[in-house]
Order: sequence, then C-alpha cells, then structure tokens
Amino acid sequence: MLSGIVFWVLAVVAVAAGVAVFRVDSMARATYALAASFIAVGLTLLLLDLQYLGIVTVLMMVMEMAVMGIYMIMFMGMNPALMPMSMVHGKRAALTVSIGTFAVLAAGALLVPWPTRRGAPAPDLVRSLGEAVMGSKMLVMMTVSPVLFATIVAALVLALPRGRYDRLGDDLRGNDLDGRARR
Amino acid sequence: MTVVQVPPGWVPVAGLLLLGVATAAASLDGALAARSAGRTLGGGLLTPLAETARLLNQRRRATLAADTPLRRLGIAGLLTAALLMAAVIPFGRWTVADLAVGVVWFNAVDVLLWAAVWLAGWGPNSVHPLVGGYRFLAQALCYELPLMFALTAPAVAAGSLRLGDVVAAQQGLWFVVWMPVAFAVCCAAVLAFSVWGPFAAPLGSGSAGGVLAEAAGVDRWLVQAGRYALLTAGAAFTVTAFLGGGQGPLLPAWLWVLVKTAVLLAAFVVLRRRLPVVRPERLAVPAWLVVLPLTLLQLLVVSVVVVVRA
Amino acid sequence: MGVTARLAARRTAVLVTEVPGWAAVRCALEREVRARGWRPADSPADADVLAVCGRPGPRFAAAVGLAWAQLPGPRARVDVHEVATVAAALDGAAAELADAPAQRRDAQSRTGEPSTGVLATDPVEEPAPDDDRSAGQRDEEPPAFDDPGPPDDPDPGTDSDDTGSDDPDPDSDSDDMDMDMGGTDMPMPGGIPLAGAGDDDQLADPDALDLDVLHVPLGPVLPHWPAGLLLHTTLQGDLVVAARAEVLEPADGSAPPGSLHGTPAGRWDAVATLLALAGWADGATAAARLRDAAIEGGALPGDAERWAGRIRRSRLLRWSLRGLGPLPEGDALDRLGHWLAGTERPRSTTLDEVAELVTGLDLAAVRLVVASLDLDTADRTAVPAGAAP
Repeated sequence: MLSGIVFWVLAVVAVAAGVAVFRVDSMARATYALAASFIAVGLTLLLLDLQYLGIVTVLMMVMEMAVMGIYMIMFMGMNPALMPMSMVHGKRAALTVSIGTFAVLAAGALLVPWPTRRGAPAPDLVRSLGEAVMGSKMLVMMTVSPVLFATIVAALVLALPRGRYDRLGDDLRGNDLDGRARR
Repeated sequence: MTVVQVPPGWVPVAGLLLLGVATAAASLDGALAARSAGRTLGGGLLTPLAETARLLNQRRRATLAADTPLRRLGIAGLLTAALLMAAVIPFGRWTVADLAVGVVWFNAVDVLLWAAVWLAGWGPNSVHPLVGGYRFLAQALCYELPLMFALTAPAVAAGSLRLGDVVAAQQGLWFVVWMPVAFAVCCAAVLAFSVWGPFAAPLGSGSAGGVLAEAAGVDRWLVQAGRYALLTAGAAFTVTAFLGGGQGPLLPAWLWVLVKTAVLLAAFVVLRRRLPVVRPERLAVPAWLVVLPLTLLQLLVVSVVVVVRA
Repeated sequence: MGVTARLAARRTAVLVTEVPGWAAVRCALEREVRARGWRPADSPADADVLAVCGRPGPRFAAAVGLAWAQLPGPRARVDVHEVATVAAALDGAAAELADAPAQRRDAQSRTGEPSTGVLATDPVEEPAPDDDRSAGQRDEEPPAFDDPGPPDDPDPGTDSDDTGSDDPDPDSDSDDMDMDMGGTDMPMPGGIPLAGAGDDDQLADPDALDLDVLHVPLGPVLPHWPAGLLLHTTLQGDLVVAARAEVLEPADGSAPPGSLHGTPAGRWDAVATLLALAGWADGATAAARLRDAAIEGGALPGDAERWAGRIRRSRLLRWSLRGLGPLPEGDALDRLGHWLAGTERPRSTTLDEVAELVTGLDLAAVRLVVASLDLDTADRTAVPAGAAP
C-alpha cells in the first residue's frame, strides 16, 4: 500500500520533471529538472528492493547532470537570468519518433502476458541479478570497462585541438596565451 | 556488535548531535584563529555562537535577475547533505538508517554536493559566485574518482556495503593500518567536499569570498553551518570506515566514535590553519596521474589480501 | 544590549578600503580590528562596517557609495583620516551597530529590490546619492556593459553545435539552438543587456569556444587589493582576455606624506596580502602582526625569522605561486622570497604592464599576480603613452 503510493508519487515527479525540462526558461533549470526526473527514477528502483542499483543510479545521474549543466551553458551561453527559450527543434520528426516509441513500449508493458513467478526471490537480489545478467562473463566485463574508459579519455585527447592549458606547456609553467615563450 | 536502527523519534536527536559536534569544531577553529591573532584561546571559543547571532540578525540579500529557486536549493543543499550523510553512520550500537548500502549512500550524498555548490554559485547571477561554483566542480572532478575507489576498499575488505559490517570487520585490526592510501584519500576528499582547508578555493578570499560573495544573513549561515556539518559527518564516516568506528577497549562504543571523530575533526581544523589553498587548476595533474593510480593500486592490494585470506 | 547583540558584536566584520596615500591609517585600522577580535570582511555581503581610510576623490567616492549600498543591514560607516582617530572611529561604529532604532530606520529607508549600479567607465560629477538601494549586483563595482551589437549577428559559438537538424522547422522563428527571439529587441533580464560575443582586439579563445564576454571591473573597493586600483577586465569564462588598469585619485591635495613601501613594514604588509589571497590564514595574520611590530619601530621580534623560514619552506605555497606573473626579474614566488629576505629592488611598473601581465589568467590568479606586484599606487609618475618602461 505504502509502496504503491510512493511509486505513484515518484512516477508523477519523474514525468512532471521531464516535461519541465522543455518548459523552463533557463539551461540550468532544464538540467536540474532532468536531474530531478532521474532521481525519481532511481528512487523507484529502491521500491524494487534493488537498493544498490537505485542509489548508484541517483549518484551517477546527479554527477552527470552537474557536468552536463556546465557543457550546456558553455555551448549555449545562457546567464542565470530567465529567458524564454525554445528547447525543441525538428519538432515533427521528434514527435513522431517519441510518440511511436511510447506507444510500442506501453503496448508491450500492458498487452504482453507477464510470466508467473516460479519460486521465491533470492535473498540477495542484487547479487542474483548480477549473476543472471553477467554470469560467466564477469572477467570480460571487468576487463572491458577500463578499456572503455581509456578509449573515452583517448578520444577526448585526440579530439581536442588544444586544451586550455596547452599554452602553459607540459609543466604548466608558462602563461602566455599566444604560445610565445616568456621567461 | 550488531547495529540496531533507532525509532524515527530519535532522528532530531541525531541531527542535534551532528550540529553540536560541528559547533565544537567551529569553536576550535575560532580559538585557533584568536590565538594566531595574538589573543587568548578562550577569546575565540564563542565564535560559532557569535557568528550565528550576527548572521541571523543580518538581512538577506537579493541580486539582480537571480535564479532564486536554484539558489535556495544550492544553499540549503550543504546542510541537508551533511544530515543525510550522518543518517547512515553507526553511533556505537545505534544508527538512524541501517542501509544495506551505506557506503554507496555516503558516496551518492557527496555527489549531491556537486549540484549544491554549483547551484549556490549559479543562482546569484554574479561573477565571483559563478566562478567559485565552477572552481568547485573542477576540484570535484579531481577528488571524486579517487574517493570512489578509496571507499570501495573497506567495502571489499568487509565483504559488505553495510557500515555496521565494515565496523565489525575491523575487530582485530583497523583498516587504516593496511589501507593507508585509501584513508588519506578519504580524508582529503572530506576536506574537499566541505570546501575546507587547502581545498577552500571556491569560497576563498582570493576571489572575494567565492560562492559566498553575495550571500548574507540566513543564506550565509546555512552555507557555513553546512561546511562544518559536512566536515563532521565526513570525519565520522572516515572514523567508521577506517579507524574502527566504535571498536576499542574500556569505553562504550558510542563514546569511542565520539572521541575518534573529535580527534580527526581537530586534525582537520588544525590543518586548515597551517596550509595555504591549492589552486584547482593545478590540482588536476597530480590527482589524475598520481593519486588515482595509487588508489587503484591500494584497491588491488586489498583485493588480493581478501582473496588470499578467504 | 541583549546577549545576542553582544555576541553578534564580537564578530563584526569590517570591509577596509584604502585611498592611495593612507596606508599607515589602513594598517592601524587593521591592527585595531584584530585587537578587538573583529575580522576583515571578504566582500560587502560579509561586512557590517565599511571603513574608508582617507579622503577619496569623486569617482572613488562614488564607488564607495555603491559598496555602501551593498552592505546588508545592520551596517555602519567609518571614515578615518588619521591614525590617532582609528580607535574612536571603531568605537563609534560599534555604537552605531548596537543602536537598534537607528538601524531599523536605516533598513526602512532602503528599498527591498536589487537595482543596477552605474557603469565603471562613466564620468562622475558629484558623489551619487544612492544610499537607498539595498543590494547591487555582480561585483563590488558594477560592470560596464558590453555593447550587444547588431541583433542579427549569429552567435559564433552555436553554429558548430548543430545537432544535425537539416530542415529547420518552418514554425520555429530562429535557427536551432539560438536563444534570441528573432526580433530587433535585445532581451534585457533585470534591465541589463545579455553578455555578447567579444571583439577582435582581445585574446583569442584557446579552446575555440567563443564564450560570451563580460566586462568586470575589479576594485577599488576590494579586500587585499592595491589602494585605488581599478582594473577593467574583460572576462570570457573566468579567463581575463583583455585588461586595462587605472588608479582612482584621492581628493585633491590631501594625501599625507610618507609611504610604507621599501620599509620592513611595507614588505611584511605585502607578504600578508599575498598570503591572505593564497588562503593561508595563519600566515597572513602572523605577517600582519610582524608588520605592526615593524611600524611601531624597534627590531622585529624573533619569530620574524621563524615565519620567514616557514613561508619559504611551504611547498604548497611554492606550488601555487610558481610561474605566476613572470617578469624579467622573477615570478611571484621570487618576489615573495625577496620580500622575506629584505632584498627587493624598487621597480616601477606601468599600468600597461599590469594589464599585460594579467591578461590570459583566471580571476584568482589575477588577484595573486596583482598582489605579488606590490603596487604603490600613491606614488605615481605619468609616463608618456608608448614609452618603454
């Protein structure tokens, strides 16, 4: 009963915050509305007794939104003042795709016959979920993740023509913006 | 010793305890400041009460075209995060919330600080707070990954994310003895997310007060109280994860937690007086090239020991 | 006075402003503030008392007036001209702060709305009577606003971020990510035009981000800042991409003779300022006490050597200051070393040199570099424009 109420509250918050992303007047508000939506989803996972996954989702999403906020503001140049702005573009295509996807997913959730539960849930849900999803491939997963991380970092390094601190040289000692050696 | 979750009626008591210890830390800081200014130690002991009286008597400020909801969220976020952090820390046999994932909870709450400090800087629509908020994020990117790996070490050693189990696993030997790097990184991260000591650039006098440049009255009090509360909660968590929590002879467990937290907190306060502030842009290279690999090595050592021991 | 009022009075914060020439008064004021257990404020929002040391000229007085308007209540203002009157002035300020009915009247006479200031580049005929504003915006000194430029200029930073919508929706009135309204009216939230793109005569953005540009004047009412210096900076992000320095004059013919520069007291004063900006609270306080001891005369106490050694040995400080503000003679760390050893050579720095040194650094580094130059703004000679330093 209580979990039902909590679920509906979180669901409404998630959807409302998601809508708010497109209705608010500033980039920072849009970013943190999205963060609120993600936090609601993460808290919903707690209702499924997946405590670790829920809290880790909240953790990752807040960190990502904080960084995303910086990038949005950097590339779109808003100040904290509230300016009416339009976050949408390519409306027709986006509407079609999003409504279509929602229809398909909702139809699947409502119309597909869910299997009945066989047996009782495992005592440690997260562990059993992990083993079911990754199972014998755990070693591969653990090796792949540092490789992924290194790839992301390398791609960034290669993509940036010059970083902000390139002009300072390798030991961060110079400070001339034109690259002219000073002292 | 099993940790038991107290009934919800005790939650305000826990909050008051946190604020009380934070006030003691602020008193120590004030006393040390008074001594370095040439007055007696006792002259500075009333600093937290005096500052509270002054700030609550002060008018709040509004700036032009500020983003007020975000600003309020940011300013209130620090103290809220400290209270959330303290909710999972076992105070001897009792805790407010005995989460199965206490370590991850602590980590998630300190990530909320990323949002809080940045919002507190963004909200006022003013140059120095904005720059201060961004500098906090620059610092946060440097300490967060080492902190995450450092928090994994006691969890791996205890085989559980529950803080009660982490304390119990330190029965014979405290984790600080064989995880010194993780302990040092955790302490540094506590200083950094409390915007304290060498990591106080976002609030620093080098930029007209940084995030606090436009805050007055209750807003300023919330941020300053939040900082001390974060320092306290962080110290209590470090004590729980690395210094054995309530383990110790003679005294009851809760008193041990209090004593150890007080000692660590005093060390943090003294450290602030003695060290200059690190510039955030200069922190990135050592953090990513030195501290992070060392932390990963530490984690490797811990994992090998755990596997060998099993 | 009630208990809370007495407690609150113990932590009074004083925002100290120095007019060029009154350095001795400022040192006496800081010493008195420290002796009472008060502390120097970081910004107007932090301050209870605004203390002006000296007689400011008209532009300086206007700037001080704007800072005064930004102090939240309860507040008091103190103008000191001589060392001997410092203690009495602070007593008066304390009494003014404790006078609740007067503070209430002051609070009621101010509006609750924040308002814009005046441009830092505006000429000032007489001191502006703007004590009825209760809060300002942005900086201790309001910015000079960037010219928004013709509204149909596309923002150069957005065209590289096209997310690939190749047929712009005919209903949208502007192209993809552009924030402007498509009309000729520049949006002005709060009455301030939005920051716009920069000009060509500033440094190119090394990341090619072309962030919006903001003009921020630093000073003259800024703690740990050379007296009367007004540095007009153009910020892109937090990097200063263009700068211009000027010094605001004191009121005509009233500056007292004598200067702190070149004396041991002046050296410790410079050390104290730099350490305060570098965030070393204890070091700054110790240096300030050594300065006061040097002003009083007589030999410096024994711990001058001890502190000099400690400051020199501090590795964090060395790491922070290394490479900042390089001049042919050395960088900020070398200058600090010269002050500690007493071996600095007097050097005249032109304002253009200051502006050039500061360009390309971020705001906090700018503060450190300016502090490391130890500018004596009271002792200025005019240099013909374009002459070699």
